[in-house]
Amino acid sequence: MNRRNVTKLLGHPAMILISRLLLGGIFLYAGIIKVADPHGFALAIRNYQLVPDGMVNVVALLLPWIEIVIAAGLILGVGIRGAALVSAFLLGAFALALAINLARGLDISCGCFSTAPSAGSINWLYLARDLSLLPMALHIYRFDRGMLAITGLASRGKTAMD
Amino acid sequence: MKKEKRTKKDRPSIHAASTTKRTTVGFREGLLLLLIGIAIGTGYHVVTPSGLSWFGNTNPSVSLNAEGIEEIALDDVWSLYRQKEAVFLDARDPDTFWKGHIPGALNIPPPDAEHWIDDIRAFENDGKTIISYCDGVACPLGEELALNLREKGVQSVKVLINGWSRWRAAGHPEERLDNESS
Repeated sequence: MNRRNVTKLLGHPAMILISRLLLGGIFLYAGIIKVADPHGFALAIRNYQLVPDGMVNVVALLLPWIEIVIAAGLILGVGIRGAALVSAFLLGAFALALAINLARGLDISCGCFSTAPSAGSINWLYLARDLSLLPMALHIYRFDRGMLAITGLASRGKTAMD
Repeated sequence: MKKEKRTKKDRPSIHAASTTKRTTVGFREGLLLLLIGIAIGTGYHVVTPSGLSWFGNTNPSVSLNAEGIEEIALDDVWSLYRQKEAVFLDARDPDTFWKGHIPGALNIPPPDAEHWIDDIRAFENDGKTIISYCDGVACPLGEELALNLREKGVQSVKVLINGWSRWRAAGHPEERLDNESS
């Protein structure tokens, strides 16, 4: 398969829609879990020992909602490129945090999809899982043309009515 | 009017312009989504307070002192445990509690304090030290439980900050759902 065919395949609206729904679903789930247990998430963040103590709770209270908003953007098709860009930034930041603590050898829970302190300790598979989502975000950012985007559907509806 | 014809040479500049536009739009939308997320998160926390303060307890013992509740050291807790002179109150949720807790601890999330008040008063009258704990320095449940109990007349309750993690880290015995102590 040559480069042109790969680009054609990646640019196919259905492929982009799949990426959007998958990444959006993952961020939505992660956000809801954290909103439900801000104390547990604050503890998970504190254990990473990367955020200043005074900012731990601020991050714990706001980050899940940012995840939910970008998930909504990806799924509904509102500000898709922005949502993909923020997703990529967050995934990069999470990967960096995981990598630093894996290198430090800290025995802490991820806080990614569970806020329970008893959740499994971080390992290199968590980092691989995080990094595997990054190409999806970049794919959406590079190729998205707004298939089944709520904004596009609304403007088409308006045009039809006119 | 003469129409300008686009040649192959023009393509790179068209591509560059489209990339710049995509980046600009991406950054603008991303910033907007971030602001929306922050606004909803702030609003949600104001409407449904979780008990987590914005800037947290960087030093939990300071707020305990301000509330007049005494913190207890792990060495003292261990000594009381061995002498069977302590009653432990685990303030975490039941699921977490059953995954592991201090042997003999009662699972009392803060809202349930009033159901246990007579038993706890009886332990206090027997001269036992009442110790509440949670897990993690940021977890306020141990402190909340102690405050609830004190409001209901249990004056001697103490808090073991970050209790479960420190207890485990010290290698002390644990109790789990299958009743296996280790």
